[in-house]
Amino acid sequence: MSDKLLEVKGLTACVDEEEKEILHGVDLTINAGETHVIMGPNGAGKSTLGSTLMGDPRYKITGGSIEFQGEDITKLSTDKIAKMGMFLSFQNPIEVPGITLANFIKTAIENKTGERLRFWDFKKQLSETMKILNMDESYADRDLNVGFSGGEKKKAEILQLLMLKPSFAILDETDSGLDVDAVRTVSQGIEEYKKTVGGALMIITHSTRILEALDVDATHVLVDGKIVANGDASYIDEINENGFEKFLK
Amino acid sequence: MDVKVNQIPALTWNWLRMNELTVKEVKALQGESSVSYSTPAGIVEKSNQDFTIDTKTGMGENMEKLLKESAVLVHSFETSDKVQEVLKLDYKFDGNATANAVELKVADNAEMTVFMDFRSEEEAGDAAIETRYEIGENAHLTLIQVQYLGDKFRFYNNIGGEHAENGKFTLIQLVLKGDQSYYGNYSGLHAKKSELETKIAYMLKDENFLDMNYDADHTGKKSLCDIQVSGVLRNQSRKLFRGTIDFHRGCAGAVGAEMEDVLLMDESVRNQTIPIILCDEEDVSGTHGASIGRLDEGMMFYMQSRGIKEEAIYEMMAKAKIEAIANQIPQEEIREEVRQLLEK
Ligand SMILES: Nc1ncnc2c1ncn2[C@@H]1O[C@H](COP(=O)(O)OP(=O)(O)OP(=O)(O)O)[C@@H](O)[C@H]1O
Ligand SMILES: [Mg+2]
Repeated sequence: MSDKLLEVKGLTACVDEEEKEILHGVDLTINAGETHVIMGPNGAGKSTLGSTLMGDPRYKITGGSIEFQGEDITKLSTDKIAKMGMFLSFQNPIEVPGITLANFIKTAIENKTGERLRFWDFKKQLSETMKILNMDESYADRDLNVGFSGGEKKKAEILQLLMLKPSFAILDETDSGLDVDAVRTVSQGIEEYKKTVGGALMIITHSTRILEALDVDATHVLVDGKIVANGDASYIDEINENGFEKFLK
Repeated sequence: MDVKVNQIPALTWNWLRMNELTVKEVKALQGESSVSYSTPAGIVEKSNQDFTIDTKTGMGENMEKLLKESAVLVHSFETSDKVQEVLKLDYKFDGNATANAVELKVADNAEMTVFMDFRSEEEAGDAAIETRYEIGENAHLTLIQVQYLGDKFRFYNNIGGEHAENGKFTLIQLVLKGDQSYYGNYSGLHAKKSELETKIAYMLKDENFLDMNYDADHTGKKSLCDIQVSGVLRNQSRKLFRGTIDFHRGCAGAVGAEMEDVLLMDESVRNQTIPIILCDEEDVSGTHGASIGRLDEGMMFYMQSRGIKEEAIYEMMAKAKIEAIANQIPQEEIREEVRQLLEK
């Protein structure tokens, strides 16, 4: 299994308005179905990397390349990148007043496939998936993320992951701010994704709890906009014990 | 000719140039446009040379005069029953500066629901309609209007009427398509516990313009009004809403509320609002609220990251706004019709 899915080379990016460079040359290769973990201190650029891969117009790519499924995506719009199969679970999911969670997911699926969904088929699939995540069905009819607690927002992200079935998902601190039970539930959701979709994961995290049930293929340490070390799963424990000190200059 | 319309009842210094609107190059109104309908049992139809209801209107005297000069017949629909079946009036404007005049009379203890469906055969044209109403004691009139006109159409929609004690007027208006739309309503809440409930939803794009003037004229004790306006502006479109709650001496216990909810999709739109609460009476409660939202970059990125393209996001947001109002229409068949128009 070494189907190259994502290949990032020498990626530099800055905040569009300020010309302040945040990513200083990131190299990263992820094969289909693999699970990669990104660790790094606060402000290292982990979320920026996730957003930039997803085509966020607020970051400007100033150098390097991103190939996804063999295609250069540096100039593609976010919706096209998503249609190719990339997904980003946001560190801070956005509130969208006026659009219900159900309506949003339905529109997203219909846009992706180009076909109308039959209402009852969709409803059934949605409520089954919500059950896996221990979400009350009433949330389907609430405005997307509006008034959701921090943990509920993260669950809603995983719900979208399971419904949209992307081939590559970036999970940006999906586990932070969750109580013990919620971490378990969200982990089950991620396992379900692995089992049913078998997509690749790039997990940005500060903790190991979410990784317990997953086979991690590689760990990368991002410091100050650069990947400074690559290793296997055992790296995670080492970092948790000794911190990032040895990677800092 | 240029015609001044939609003047607010008390001119203000604050909004000097928006106190009224001058519509440029208004065409003289010719004949009547075609309208098809069947009158439900319990409703009596008459045709008169002139209006028989004496009332002010939202768009004002100049608009009334323009319509009167067209000399079209006034179609009057009257009931003294509680009519459940909806009186549906299907207008097909042909584009030749047409005029329509309608009177709706609901006698004491009676009820009537009227659905006016405004469509056009041509892309461009002018059409005007004036609707006057009279609501008896404990009576209820519901008027639902849906506008779905050609992209170059100019439309004047003028309403005015009077309420008897405990008489209620529910007005639901959906502005879905058309270039320039001029809307006005005047409600004479002169009797005790008379009530006005207005819900308006609009979606404007390109260079569309919607100018509104709504006047709730309270003299009746404990009279009520509630005006909700909700809409979406895109591209270079422009909207001006004037809403006046006019509490006159003697309307003790009256309650009035106006609420706006606007979503601005582009930097280049123009959204103007003149909320006015006039008070000659102490024992009243008048409120105005507004929520104005923008689709910021972060929200846009979030939605696009799920594979929804910009155009589809705009559409989804606009439809949701209209549907929120349309879902309050009691009749399922009308809701369904609106849904189909939104899917087009
Ligand atoms: N839009 C922006 N405007 C200005 N500065 C930004 C912007 N986005 C990111 N930055 C800066 O870039 C740096 C990296 O931010 P980023 O959010 O990617 O860090 P992170 O590694 O995800 O941190 P955390 O672990 O706290 O989530 C920070 O110093 C941040 O302030
Ligand atoms: Mg982050």
